Amino acid sequence: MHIHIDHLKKHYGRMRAVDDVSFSFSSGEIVGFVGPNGAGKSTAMRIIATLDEPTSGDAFLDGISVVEEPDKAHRLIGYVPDSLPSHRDISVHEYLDFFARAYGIGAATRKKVVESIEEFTNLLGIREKHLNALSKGMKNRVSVARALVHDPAVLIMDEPAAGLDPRARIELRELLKVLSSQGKAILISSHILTELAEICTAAVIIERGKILRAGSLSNILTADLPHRTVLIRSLDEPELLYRHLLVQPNIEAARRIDHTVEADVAGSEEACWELLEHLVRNGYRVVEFRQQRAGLEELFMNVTRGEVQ
Amino acid sequence: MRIVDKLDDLLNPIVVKELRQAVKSRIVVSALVLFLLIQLSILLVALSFGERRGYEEASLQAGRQIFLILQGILLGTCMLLVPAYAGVRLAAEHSDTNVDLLFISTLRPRGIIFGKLQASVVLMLLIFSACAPFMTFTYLLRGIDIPSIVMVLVLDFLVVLLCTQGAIFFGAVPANAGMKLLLGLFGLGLLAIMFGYTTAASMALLDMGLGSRLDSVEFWLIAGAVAVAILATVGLLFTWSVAIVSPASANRALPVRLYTLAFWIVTGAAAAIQMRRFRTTMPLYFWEAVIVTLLCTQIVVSINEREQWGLRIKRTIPRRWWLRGPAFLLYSGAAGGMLFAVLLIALTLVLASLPLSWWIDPSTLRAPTVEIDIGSRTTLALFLMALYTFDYCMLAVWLRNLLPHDRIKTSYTWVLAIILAGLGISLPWPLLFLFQNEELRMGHIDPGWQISNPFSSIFTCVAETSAEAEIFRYQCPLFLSGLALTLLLGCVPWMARQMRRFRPPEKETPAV
Repeated sequence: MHIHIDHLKKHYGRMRAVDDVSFSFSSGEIVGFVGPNGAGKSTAMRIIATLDEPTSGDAFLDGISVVEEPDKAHRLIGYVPDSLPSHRDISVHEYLDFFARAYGIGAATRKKVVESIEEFTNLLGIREKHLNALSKGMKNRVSVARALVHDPAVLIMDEPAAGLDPRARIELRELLKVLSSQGKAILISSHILTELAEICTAAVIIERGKILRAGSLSNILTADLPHRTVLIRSLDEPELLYRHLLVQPNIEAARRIDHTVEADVAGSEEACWELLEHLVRNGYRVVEFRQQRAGLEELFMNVTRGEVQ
Repeated sequence: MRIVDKLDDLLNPIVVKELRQAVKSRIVVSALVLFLLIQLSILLVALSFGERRGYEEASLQAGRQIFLILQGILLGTCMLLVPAYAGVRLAAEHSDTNVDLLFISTLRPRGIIFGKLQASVVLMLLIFSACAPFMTFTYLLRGIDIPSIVMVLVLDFLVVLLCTQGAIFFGAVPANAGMKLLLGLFGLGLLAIMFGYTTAASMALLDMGLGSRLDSVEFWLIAGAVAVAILATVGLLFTWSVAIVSPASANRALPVRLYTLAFWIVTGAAAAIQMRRFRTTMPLYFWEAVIVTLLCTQIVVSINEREQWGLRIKRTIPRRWWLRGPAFLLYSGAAGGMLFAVLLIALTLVLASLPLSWWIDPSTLRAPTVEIDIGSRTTLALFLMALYTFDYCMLAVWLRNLLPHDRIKTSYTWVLAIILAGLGISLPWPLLFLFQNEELRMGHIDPGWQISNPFSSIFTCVAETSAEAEIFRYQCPLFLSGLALTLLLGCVPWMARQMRRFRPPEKETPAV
């Protein structure tokens, strides 16, 4: 499954909630959709989930347009909204059974499907509990289970971790990893960037409806940086290595940390390679040379300005 | 595949969910138990009193009296419980969290609303079947016949069905909690009125005694007309509800306008049949009043509709220009909706204004002069009502277009129209106080001063007989028609813009 978001725009009068957003991702990928409040994440996700119509542009799921063929797209998408189920007088099992019926799953297979989803999302123990008696974490699991009931190829999750306690967040993270390993394409928005960085293979950073950065996590965390930070450990005297680094033209700064030296290398990854080559050529016995990845949080703070429309 | 599974697959998921929830709901179960207890108590009390009376005092009307009490309880319970349950539940669920999620399933908006209605019908049947033994028992107490019992129960069922669909419609209206509360109170008021009318109608039916009338064609014509009217209104409310819960990007207006057209034809035909059969023009004027009122509402709704179409709708716009014209009138869209309503109002008023001989032989009428007079007054009042609605709505559209870009959202044009109408109603009074003080005190004001006030103008034109009123009867429609034409000319660019936009996409979006 290949998902392609093609020049998506959503305008409310003069406000451009989503402004020419384009990106792609495929099965097995978990894409973090990151942006400040009001950046247009939820609007874009609702459009991809066929709940809203774009002003222009489209999203394609293996070539199926969500604008022109929403009925076909429905079967491919599982959508987890940012609010939790609040139906009264209905148990978890009945709720999931209802959505299984709503997705047209026949009686012959429905029981098995619902039970397997309950088992997968660890809901078997609470299947007879009423929805309104559940905690936020449990409701969240029910919400994910509901989105999975028709076995969609694409999962769109709008702030699924909001308000969850640490245990529920960890459980959700593990669940997403399993789903990704099963080949589902997952688009997830969250404000908890450290957690996103742990599970995402790619990220899209959006602000005021426009994409600021998009791509694989390793690329966007290393591209466009003013310098690279590398951690070097050699069998030589660290002080000697430290002094040597300080006089190199492309080294912006260096720090000694125990038996290692951390250096800020100006330029691209090419410059890092040149530095390593230089050290080896000069007889330094380098046993560890590691580029420190910038965190998603750091990148987010660098590229966004916290502006809202 | 087992038959049970096949049957299970045929069930609307909403019905299954609603009934599961109803069974678990304390309110529904308690109300049902209470309802049965009350019915049983009333019957026991009635029988006990009957026992104490001597043979000479035995009432020949006991059955009817007890039936009326039981029917009141049945109607009260059903009219309060079933519509409130359906409406409140839908209102609570019609949020981003729930109903939206249904739209990304394979359920269609029509299926959602129909499921709600079906679930309510099952609840109604449950309550009706619970009361049926008690009501049938009243037959043994004398004073009532079985056909009367059946007909009253059928009438009650249809009325509860109408009220339930009405409640579903109110529940579907997107509004905040305060607005929903107001709508709920308004709906409750309507239910009370319906309850009063249905009880009165039931009493009249029982007084008539229907057993002897079952072989009369007239009886079945009237019964059929009532049933058609109720079911047609249920259908209208159903299409409105479906339109409301449909996604904004869908062509919401199409089913509503098609239904309105069908409603116009079917109810018009029913009115014509009744008119010829009963030799009275009243059904025609009643039909005219209902249709024009409905279409005036359509005008108020239309001004808030979209002025451009998304890809989803554009893809379905006919490519042939001669099909695009009618499609423009039927598709979601402000200008198309206005034109549709105006054309249908004009056609209705023209049909109602045709010479009486076109419809019926005037010599066969019981009171031709009175009927002609009532007819012309009704048509004039409706014509003025339509003109006022059109003028205030077009004025709102014109003003909204004059204001800087997006100052007033398209969806709030109705608010502007209501504010303008409110000003039109209230402004004449301070002006009269300032400039026509003496006349105002004497009660001899020129009706022209009140021309912006629809209520006063229509009353003057239709009910007053003074010399000024006679002149005003011509001046008022002329002025309003002139204003309508001027506003229409002012809004030509607005309409033309929408007509230009109403085209299928140039080329298909390439799939990636």
